[in-house]
Amino acid sequence: MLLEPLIRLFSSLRLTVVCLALAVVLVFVGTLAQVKLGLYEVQARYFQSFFVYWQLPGTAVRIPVFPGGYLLGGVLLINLFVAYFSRLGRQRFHPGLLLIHFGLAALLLGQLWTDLAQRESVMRLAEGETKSYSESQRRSELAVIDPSDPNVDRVVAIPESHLRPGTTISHPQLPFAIRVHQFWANSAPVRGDTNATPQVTQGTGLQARFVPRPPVTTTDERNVPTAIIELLDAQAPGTSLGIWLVSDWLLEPQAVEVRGRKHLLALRLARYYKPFSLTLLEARHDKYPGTEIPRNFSSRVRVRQPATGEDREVLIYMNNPLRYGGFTFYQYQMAADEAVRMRGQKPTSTLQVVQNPGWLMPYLACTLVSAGLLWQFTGHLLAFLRERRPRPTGRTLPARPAPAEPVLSR
Amino acid sequence: MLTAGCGREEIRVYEAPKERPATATAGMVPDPGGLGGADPHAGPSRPRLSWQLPAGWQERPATSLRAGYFVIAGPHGQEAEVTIIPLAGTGGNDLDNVNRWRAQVGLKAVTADELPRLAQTVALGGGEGQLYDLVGDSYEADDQRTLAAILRRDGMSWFFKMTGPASLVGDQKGAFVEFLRTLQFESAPPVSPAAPGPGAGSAAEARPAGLPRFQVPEHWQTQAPGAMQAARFFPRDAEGRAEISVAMLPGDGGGPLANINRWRRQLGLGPIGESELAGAMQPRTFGAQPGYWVEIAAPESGRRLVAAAVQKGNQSWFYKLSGEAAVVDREKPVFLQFVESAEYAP
Repeated sequence: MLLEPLIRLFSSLRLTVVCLALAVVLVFVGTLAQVKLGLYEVQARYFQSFFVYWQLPGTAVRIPVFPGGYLLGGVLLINLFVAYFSRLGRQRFHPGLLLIHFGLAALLLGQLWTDLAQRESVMRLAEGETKSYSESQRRSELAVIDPSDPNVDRVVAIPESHLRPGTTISHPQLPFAIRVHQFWANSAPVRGDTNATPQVTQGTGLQARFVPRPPVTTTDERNVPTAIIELLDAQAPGTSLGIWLVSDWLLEPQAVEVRGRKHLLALRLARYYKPFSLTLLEARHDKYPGTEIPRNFSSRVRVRQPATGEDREVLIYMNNPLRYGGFTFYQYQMAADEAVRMRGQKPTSTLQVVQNPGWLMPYLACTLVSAGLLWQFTGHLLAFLRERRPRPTGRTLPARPAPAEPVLSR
Repeated sequence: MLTAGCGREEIRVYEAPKERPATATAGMVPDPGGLGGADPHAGPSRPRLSWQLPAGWQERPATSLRAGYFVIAGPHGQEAEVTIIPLAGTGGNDLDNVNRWRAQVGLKAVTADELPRLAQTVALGGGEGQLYDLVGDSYEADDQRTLAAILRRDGMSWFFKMTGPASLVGDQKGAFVEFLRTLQFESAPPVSPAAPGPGAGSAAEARPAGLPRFQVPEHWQTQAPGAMQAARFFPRDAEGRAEISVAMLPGDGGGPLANINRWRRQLGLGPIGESELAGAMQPRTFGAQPGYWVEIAAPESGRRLVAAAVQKGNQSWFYKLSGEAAVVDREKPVFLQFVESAEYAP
């Protein structure tokens, strides 16, 4: 039968060792690859994938050359379950073994959960500034904003991955369809307001010009995208509302009027709004006197939650993040030293905002595994001590069957 | 979960709180000079501007580049326009800007020496800015004239420009100067007046927050300070050959020996020891403040450095003149006077 060899394969200890060895190689190669590709690209290509591919030079053909993080983790998880159910027989219900196996499974699944659900972004604040949103560090979005409501802006946010040249984007909430003419993942403005982008017929692109740049991969640079798009009236097919240039270089949105109603258009870093706001009261970058060695980076912020009326001050500093509303705010970057103040600039502080619904999983998993190991070893120890107890001399009683001794699997 | 991870990001629809009141502000393009891997969002946030509209001026919707846009109709059908353009950073070199505007009205370019004579200091948004009045040489009726004012404030450069037929712009010059005077930024500048641009004249008081008040020699040109610097100048006729910088460090700034050895290193010289220190530095009082100064020469490279350190309370102020030996020798007396002239914040 086919099932039996499959079970034998997936329950084998050899498979576990091979997977772990491959994982070691993957981590090593992935770490080296960061020099060339940067952290995020390596994460996507090596760890958040089923295979690591090699592209045939000069072609678009990609050949899988090594198992990726998802494949190794998946096989290890299957290996763990199959071994547990097929090899342990009745012992599988032993509490120690149960805890250890489910603890390991929780560790693997928790990592997958974190990988899929964790969102990292940043909140950049100048002193005195209030924000209720954080921004992605790498992903941009084309935001179409309807500002007609006096209280809130209605936003349709189109991820940059949708902005592929030649595609037309429609959405029931959009007053126009968007045809993408050009998209540059990274771009730079060209000085001189006379060098307008030739194909653009509306907006800032008439006065400013941008050129494509090769995408950057290092963590201390970021891509600043620019796109040339055509807006097509959704209610009058074929009617063009002009060709516009949108760019993350433009710090303010452009206004588009559609049948007398104003909309704003902005290509910007993807924003994640929160139901509360943070105000930066003071950013401090202290140094040891007479040196340039940093002593302290801290941000005094005010947290305001309109829903509950909460309004309080919090000090965020290195290793002392603010945990609030399912988010963790870490002190991340700072421009608040003497040089900034002397130039007459406002000090700024950047907080890293991490949302990880699975953050408890590693703790839970480690607790399960620890409890299982403790149970297991205590059982062994007690059995061992019982074995060593000196037997009384004289007539021996008939031997009783030895108690079932738990065996640590694998 | 797997499908969520592998799937494409979805278009999101959400409601967001209003970011700003609907005031007369519009988009801006960041300074395209020296981009590198720059982050357009890392710069200071732009303050809002309000104004009193002079009679006869019509406010037009601001565009993505302009924070303000006005049109003035003349009595004979002429039209002049006024624009307000904010740029992050220095907004480029003043000489280049002025020469670009000169070219637009058919004037020849000027040199760095001539530039200060063209600038007029005007009250601008609670501080002081430089006004350039650029009018063509001919007296033809359609001759163009430009009034341009520059204000550098809170890490941003603001350009206020009126362009139009010479006669109309001439009539409106008074209104334009008054318009500049009454401009208001949402928050008051940390210290006013703001640092003036080049050519502010002999009594120019370059004074961003915390910087001492000093008399800048007439022939020095103000430059954007570098990292760790509070102010920077160069002699106009010796650009690239000598430089004057001002920096502040807390405490004693590391002590004389460390500083002198740092300056020696900058000239490519080896360090000196504690025993040679007394011979290398000359104690001196600058104004009422104690301090010392040193002169270091590197004969091999032909470079020379004069540096002064002034102790004021718990701060040390460092002044440095460095460059080609001939220029440094010539500037040394003026430089020491400049250090003497500093008035420190109490």
